[in-house]
Amino acid sequence: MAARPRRAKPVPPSRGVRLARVTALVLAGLSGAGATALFLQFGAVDGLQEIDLLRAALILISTLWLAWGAAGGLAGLFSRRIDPAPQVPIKGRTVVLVPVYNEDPVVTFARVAAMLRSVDQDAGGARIDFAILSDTRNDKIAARESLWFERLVRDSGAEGRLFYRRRVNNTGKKAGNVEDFIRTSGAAWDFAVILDADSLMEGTTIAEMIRRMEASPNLGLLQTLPKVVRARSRFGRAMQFSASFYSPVFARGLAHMQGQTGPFWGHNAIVRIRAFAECCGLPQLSGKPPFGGHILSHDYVEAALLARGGWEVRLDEDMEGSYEEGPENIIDHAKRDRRWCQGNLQHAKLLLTPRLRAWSRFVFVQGIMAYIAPLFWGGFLAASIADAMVQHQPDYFPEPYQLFPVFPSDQTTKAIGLAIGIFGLLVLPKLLIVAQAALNGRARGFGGAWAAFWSTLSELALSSLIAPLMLMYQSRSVLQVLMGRDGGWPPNNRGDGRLSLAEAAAASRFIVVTGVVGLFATWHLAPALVAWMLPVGLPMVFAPLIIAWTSQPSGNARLFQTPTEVQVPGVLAQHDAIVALWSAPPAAPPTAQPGDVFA
Amino acid sequence: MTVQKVFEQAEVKVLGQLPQAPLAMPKQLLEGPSLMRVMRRRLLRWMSPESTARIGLGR
Repeated sequence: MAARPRRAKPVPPSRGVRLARVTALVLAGLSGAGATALFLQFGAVDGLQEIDLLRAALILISTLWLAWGAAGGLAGLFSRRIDPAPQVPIKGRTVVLVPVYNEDPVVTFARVAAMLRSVDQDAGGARIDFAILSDTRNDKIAARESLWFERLVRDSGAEGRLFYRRRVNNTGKKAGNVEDFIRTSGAAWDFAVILDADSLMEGTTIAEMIRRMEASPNLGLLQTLPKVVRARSRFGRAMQFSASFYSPVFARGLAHMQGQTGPFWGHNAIVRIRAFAECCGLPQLSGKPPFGGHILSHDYVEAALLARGGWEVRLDEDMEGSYEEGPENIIDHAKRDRRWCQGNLQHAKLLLTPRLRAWSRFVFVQGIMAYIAPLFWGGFLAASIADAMVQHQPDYFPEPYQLFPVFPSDQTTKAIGLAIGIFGLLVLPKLLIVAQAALNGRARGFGGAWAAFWSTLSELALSSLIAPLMLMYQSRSVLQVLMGRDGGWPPNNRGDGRLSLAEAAAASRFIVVTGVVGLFATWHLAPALVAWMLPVGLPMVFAPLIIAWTSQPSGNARLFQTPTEVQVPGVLAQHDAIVALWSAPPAAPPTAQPGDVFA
Repeated sequence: MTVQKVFEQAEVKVLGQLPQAPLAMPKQLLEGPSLMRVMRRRLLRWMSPESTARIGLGR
């Protein structure tokens, strides 16, 4: 039996954490101020108008946001000491929660079978159970879930350690699903590993998480950094590379700054059940969706509430063996983003929640900024076109009786310098991550230093190409939420994600129209700006081609290579084997005996 | 009662049925005062005779 959980008074951030926060803030502030000063010099050539001040304000906000992200990446280049837990026998009892919602039961339950096997092999005899928490609304899928659960229990021979329940109604969505479990059965376990339907974790990782929880009695939640796996498309593999290569560094930067007020991303994390029950009962927010009703991005709120209750919330980015799958195309990514956008904007209602830690409030602000930042960029572009339209001719003879004309100074180099500076904020952290990976040997898993460098350049090119599309999807999401449109809770697509040109065109018509109209308007109203607008406008005009092309399978295995592709982790290989066995034609009689899957 | 005992005493009759081991999960207070109310309160506090006297104004 694990030690009784105890609450402590919130610990103020350490000196190191405060230093990291102040450094990042100062860096972001200096970058923002520098960019604004450059812009004002450039914009003041023909006199400073109101519209220039508006553009300067937009540049300031946008640069501050970009620089804050870059500062996080730079902070992540510095190593962080994380003590592994002592390898002592595990005392507590743990349940792995697998919430499902209209998923394919074969693939999902095979994940449970694979993790069960991994746990039995590598978790040192710890008592770890699995509970599938179904919120499935489709009765046919629910019937298949029941059948495949029986198969799972029979094949694994783990009766008594595998649980399945389906809720009558799915109030509160995933947060409500977990809450219902805790209200009904939470007292039977000490810890809960919360997963998504597409999550996979190695037994050793789960055991290490439990040990770290047992070693730190004040730790309420421990988040791992899941690696994206099994991507096949060009877009999916670029995202997978990005998540595998950059994310550990950005996450370490975040960990430097967050202290004991870490994040919860809703899955691939372990919670102390009593702490979670004590602090994380989520009420409905007043008003109607999208701002009222159930809290969509519940994870951020739960992390904030645990911290408010005096519990430590920690991200340990050093732990390997934690996996998830990602969207395979831009449209699926945009759909998921629509949900996250609504959830993050809803946090505006929680900024003044009583007794929250300051950093938790700041995390809400960051989450909101992540979605409204594109509006600032869009606003800047629109204001720039408007400014060029109303630009008056320079006054060469400002003084009466002046003999020689005064030519306005050419500030184009400052504009180019500003553009390079802003681009540098995006690129520099990634290039430094490549350099560090080449020096410390981490690049080997990505095909070597040159392959990692080439993948990074390709990822930068691809992300620059799709950035205007993302800007449009995010802006649309924000506007929809602000207009009060609820995005609902669509299930995730888990197929290969390949899109035809027609499908891509249907989902991006508004982007193409905006791109064509925007470029035409710029050419007509402010021809001098056309060259500046092309990197944004052209990808918008060709959005269907880009969306369809990036959804196709990636033919080049070396480009965007990740360590999990070279050496498939045990739990993934086991999952593949079980899916193959369970997907065998029904003509082949099931010959498996209890425990055969684990042979 | 230990977790183990709770688990043993929970009757599980159907395959895969979760044990009955309820745990209270009180609803949390999330929505605070409105921004306008907070700003008004702060403003009144700054303008109070005590505050103004502290910086050498008033009284």
